[in-house]
Amino acid sequence: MRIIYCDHNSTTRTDPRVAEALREAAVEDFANPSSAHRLGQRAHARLDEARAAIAAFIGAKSSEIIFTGSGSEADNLAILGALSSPDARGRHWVTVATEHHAVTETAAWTQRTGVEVTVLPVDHRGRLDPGLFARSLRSDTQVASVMLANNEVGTVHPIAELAGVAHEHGVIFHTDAVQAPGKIPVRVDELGVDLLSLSAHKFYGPKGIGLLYVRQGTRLAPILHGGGQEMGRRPGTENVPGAVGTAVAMRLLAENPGEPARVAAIAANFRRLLVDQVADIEFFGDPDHRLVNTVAAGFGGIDGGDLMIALDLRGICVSTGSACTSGAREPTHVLRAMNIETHYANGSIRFSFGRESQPEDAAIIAAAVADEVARLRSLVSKSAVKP
Amino acid sequence: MVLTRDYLKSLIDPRWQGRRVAAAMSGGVDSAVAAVLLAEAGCEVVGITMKLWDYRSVGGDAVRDGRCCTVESVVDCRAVATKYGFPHYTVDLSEEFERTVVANFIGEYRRGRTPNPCVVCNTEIKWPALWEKAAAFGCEAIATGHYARLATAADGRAGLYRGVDPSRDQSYFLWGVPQDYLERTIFPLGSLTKASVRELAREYGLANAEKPESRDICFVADGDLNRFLTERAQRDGISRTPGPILNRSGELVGRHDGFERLTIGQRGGLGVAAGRPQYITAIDPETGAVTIGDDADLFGRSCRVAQMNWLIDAPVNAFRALAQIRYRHQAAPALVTPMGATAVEILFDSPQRAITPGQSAVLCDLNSARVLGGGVIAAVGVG
Repeated sequence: MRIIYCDHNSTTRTDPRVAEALREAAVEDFANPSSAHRLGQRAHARLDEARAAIAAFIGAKSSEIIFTGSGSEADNLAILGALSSPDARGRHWVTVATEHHAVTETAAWTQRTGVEVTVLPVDHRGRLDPGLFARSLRSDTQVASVMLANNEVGTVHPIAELAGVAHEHGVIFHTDAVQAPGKIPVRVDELGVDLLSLSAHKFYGPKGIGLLYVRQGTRLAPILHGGGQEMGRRPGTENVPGAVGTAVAMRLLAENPGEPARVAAIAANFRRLLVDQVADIEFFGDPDHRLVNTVAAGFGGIDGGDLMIALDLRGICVSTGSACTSGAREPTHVLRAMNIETHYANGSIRFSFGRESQPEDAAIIAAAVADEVARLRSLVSKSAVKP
Repeated sequence: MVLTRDYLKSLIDPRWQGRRVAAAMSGGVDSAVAAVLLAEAGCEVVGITMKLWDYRSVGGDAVRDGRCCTVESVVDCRAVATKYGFPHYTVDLSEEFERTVVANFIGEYRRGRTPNPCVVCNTEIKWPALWEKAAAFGCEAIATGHYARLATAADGRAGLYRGVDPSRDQSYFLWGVPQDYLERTIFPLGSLTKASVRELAREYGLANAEKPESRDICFVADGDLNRFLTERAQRDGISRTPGPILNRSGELVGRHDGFERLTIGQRGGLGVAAGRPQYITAIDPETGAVTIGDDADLFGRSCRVAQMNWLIDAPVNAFRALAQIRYRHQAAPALVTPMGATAVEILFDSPQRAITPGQSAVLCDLNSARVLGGGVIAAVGVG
């Protein structure tokens, strides 16, 4: 049975070229970059090269890139680091109800420590009203965090506009851009943000390494304590192989500018076929401003968990809600924030296409979905499902 | 019995070979071995772990109890599934479980009866709710690790029989499973002894081979029934009902502070000194009165059983059978008189100890070990 992977938003396969670069760095330039001897110097040089390459890809300076252990850690460092900055003008911050758990859980945690956080609502398409955002900024607001693209439903926020508004109010602006690379452009010079999080395993890079862009002049207090690596902002022996691999992954993105369109075509075809073959579907997210690899849909009247399992038994890998909320029965916080009707929210599936996707996947997956949805609906319609 | 490959394969009815079967997996040894037996016999196994409760709703403490509710079990199940090449999923049935098993558990205590949650779970969750999921995944049968047997009986039905290992037989808990579901059920372990199952677990290299038995009520992980019932009473705004303690002559000998935590057959703990052990012999939820007596006072010969589920054609005339009134009770010969389709009166040949309202009464054929049906003890000492 051929396995069709349609869950690229949760993670991607590490590209073999990335893996080779990572292996080579691990075995050859293995020394600690902080060591003064020549082997340490070589390792440090590899790290610097990787950092410079990554910075160039996103329009930043080398010194503005911090390596972390994950995108989630980058989010934590950005928000908590800004809040505890010696320059902080206040202890209030602003975010949105549809952020990734790395941000929403940070919000909940800061509330328990006496920090005030405003969590802004979104509309039915997951869009944030820039006027509402502006009105939420106060004289004691230290930082605002709005994700560039939503992992569950694909809605893309007008980050450049929002960053501008934040700056008018003297507020530091962070964006979680983890879902963006390889799908939409990520240039800090265009976005105008102060802080930006990335995660390598979302764009065919290694797992276990994230990036935080910190605009020069933005002061962050470290949230982990130890040696002075990453200019005193994030301790721990640097993950040179991971950094090297991440730089290669970014280079591969730049070398394949036609890939996002190739993937978008498959996703669009899939969506069309779904509409043709399945009744009673609601598609989630902003249809005009969205990640084009992502088709997030609610199939009315069935359980999304059951559909996901049924598809898995046919070799098709997708997720329900997001990968981080497994086993739970309730609609995700994102769908709830968007006020999606339970009829559709309970039957939600996310299809996210990427490098593994082939053109024929659109038809294969759509046919499987049509089949399984029909079967699940017929089971539900019998009042007691007897054997 | 030598556990040869052929013998083990023969434990699974050949009609299920090559079919997709849902194997309910709890994380314990029994259900793990059952799942592997199915896979080895050529079934297309889909392992399913049911999430039935979590610490937030039932109280207790994952760290202190050393049991992380479902998570650890899921890890064990995944390991087995990966090793034997079948998929494994978790399904959330906690809402259904709370609504049926937990609600019944609490309700029975508040009615002065002693509940049997494992029976309710089998009747309401393991079969109907799990079957719904299994059907959704295209499965044609459900399998569990229960020590019980199924075989086509003379009347053409899938007959339920006691497991061969008397120390492990779990047919007592299965009386409530509707006949339709039994036609689509597999019990791989019914003809094996517990010792054989552990041996198989070791042979199969299952990590949970040496796991100790779980005996407690699964959703009271710390075993502290009092804590659970008290927390729920507080949550529901229901206070305990204190009342008098009476001796068998009806004389007042003390007071208790809540019959809802007490059970028939319970010894002591009531602060009544009588020179010899005193046992609770009756609980009256209407008056809150609890009657105590000597060990001899616990014995009785009769009871009325309601909510009968028949696994044979519902009999009309009185007949003789073996009746079991508690899990750890040796089924004893009795005269069973049907009272309509859903009730019977049981008259034991000899007095039995602590017949308790709320417990299940299960009837077994005198000769064939076939489970004929069962119900819930409604009243004691009738007739």
